[in-house]
Amino acid sequence: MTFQERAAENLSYFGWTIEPSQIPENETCIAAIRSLQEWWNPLDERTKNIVGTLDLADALWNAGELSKWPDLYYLISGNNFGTFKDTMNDVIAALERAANSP
Amino acid sequence: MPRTFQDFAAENLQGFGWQITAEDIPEWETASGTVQRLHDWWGRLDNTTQSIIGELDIAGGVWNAGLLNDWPGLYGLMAGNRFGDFAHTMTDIVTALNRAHHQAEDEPPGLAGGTGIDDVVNAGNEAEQQ
Repeated sequence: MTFQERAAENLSYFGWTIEPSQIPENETCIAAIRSLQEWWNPLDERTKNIVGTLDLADALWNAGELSKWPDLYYLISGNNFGTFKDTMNDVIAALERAANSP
Repeated sequence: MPRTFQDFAAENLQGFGWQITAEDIPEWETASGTVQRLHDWWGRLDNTTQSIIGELDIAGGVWNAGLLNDWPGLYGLMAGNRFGDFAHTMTDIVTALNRAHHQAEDEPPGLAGGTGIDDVVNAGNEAEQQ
């Protein structure tokens, strides 16, 4: 199995429906998520609380933050796991597991 | 009765299209303090973050964070980003409030609490009767 196939499978365990063809190479996924982390992590806790439960997908898209991996939009959209942080952590967990699988 | 800051603020905000009454607006110090706290929070955000969240409806978020505790009615003004984004919406609210503050300051004090025209008229009548 390819990284993309494993990632799609892992993401499906979390409830997402995504095709391997919608997932780029691991390095691109890492770059896309790192870009989001570099924006999110330095925010103060108050701001994270204020915006953390909002659906940030459109806003991130409009800001160009999803240009490296456009289909990440569908994973972020709707905050499947309640907050942006928890949703992203589950995306990251699925990708890391796919990357580290033999 | 002289018109208060709240009267002018409600009128000014209605001019921008908001439905709000004077009773929904606190004293100037409370209103301006609440807006200042929002301004302080917003002003510390970097440009990228302001760009990302600026068009989102963050009224619920700032409510939950306690930033509207002193003026809960501000929620109704912020909700929905009536003027497209947070910055423009808040700018219009601030404009309406600042104008109301100046209008209230310019209100003739003689009309307040029985020291104005009515009393002058009454005093004149009393003098004639004597």
